[in-house]
Amino acid sequence: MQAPTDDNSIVLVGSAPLSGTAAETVDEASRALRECTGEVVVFFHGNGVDHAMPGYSDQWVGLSGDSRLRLEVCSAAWQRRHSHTLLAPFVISSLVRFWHRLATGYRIAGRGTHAPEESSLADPWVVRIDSVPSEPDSRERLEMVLAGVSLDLPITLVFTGEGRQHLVGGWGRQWRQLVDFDLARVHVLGDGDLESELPVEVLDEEGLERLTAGARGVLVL
Amino acid sequence: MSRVAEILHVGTCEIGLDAEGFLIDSDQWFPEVAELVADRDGIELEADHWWLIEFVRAYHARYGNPPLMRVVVAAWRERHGEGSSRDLYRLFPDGPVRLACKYGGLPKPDWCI
Repeated sequence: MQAPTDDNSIVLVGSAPLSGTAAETVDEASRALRECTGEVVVFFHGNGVDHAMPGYSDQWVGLSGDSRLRLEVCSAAWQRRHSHTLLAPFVISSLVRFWHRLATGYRIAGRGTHAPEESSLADPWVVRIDSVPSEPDSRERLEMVLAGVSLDLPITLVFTGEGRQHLVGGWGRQWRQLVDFDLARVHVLGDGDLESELPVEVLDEEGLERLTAGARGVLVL
Repeated sequence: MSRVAEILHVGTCEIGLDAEGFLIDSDQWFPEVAELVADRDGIELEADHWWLIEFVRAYHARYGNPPLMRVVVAAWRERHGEGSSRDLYRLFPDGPVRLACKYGGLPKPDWCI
């Protein structure tokens, strides 16, 4: 019997296999499979693509007995790190396909995410960046955002905590295009003392809560 | 880094190209290189082609990546007063931004956007 198409979930995995948050992601996918009646897509991007490497993939392979599960790997992130072919049950996918799924009704599941019961197409997707910049991970976070705006999706970006460092010095250069070409709204959480040349709007906790409450969904990168 | 698959001779210069015809070293680029690489693909570069190549080069220099198509389309409309992505595909049918990178001496876009 074919699964209903109106109750599909997507779990985003961007952390390397041995990192603290990565350990939770298998549980998140298991939970999504229990709670969701449709398809569950796990999308590996950035350093998260290493979950598909032999030695790290066993738990995912174990879950893949459920035919509703798809293990999709960002092709660019994979090719930057590995020269060999991706092994089944993992399949190559793209950032644009990830956003297309969200735009067509997949619910976000997982760490720090938020998917309201009701939202309109005009509500923005909030992308929250809360971890310290590094290469190539920092550029890949930007690419995640660019993929969404390439589909004309309304995206609001919020830099919080250590993620605020993305806007400082040389790191800020790549994010500036979002502001210069009005591709996305960019906010920073804090007291405005950030030494950034980017014209970003400063948010307080209350403002962030309002933004989150009015979002179509929240992704944490 | 890509391997040199071919050497292109432009005047007295030897320009290394990868298997898809992209420059190995962006610093080796100059306009005659663009003309020769495009000519090999059967494209004669005219004013709008050059506008696109220069726009993509300037964008890449400023932000470190090529522009999204929607950014190029908006800039094209500013230049011509109207237009769509179709106009850009008429210039470079196999991918306007990708080919502007190729002829502009920039790295092949390696993202999945």
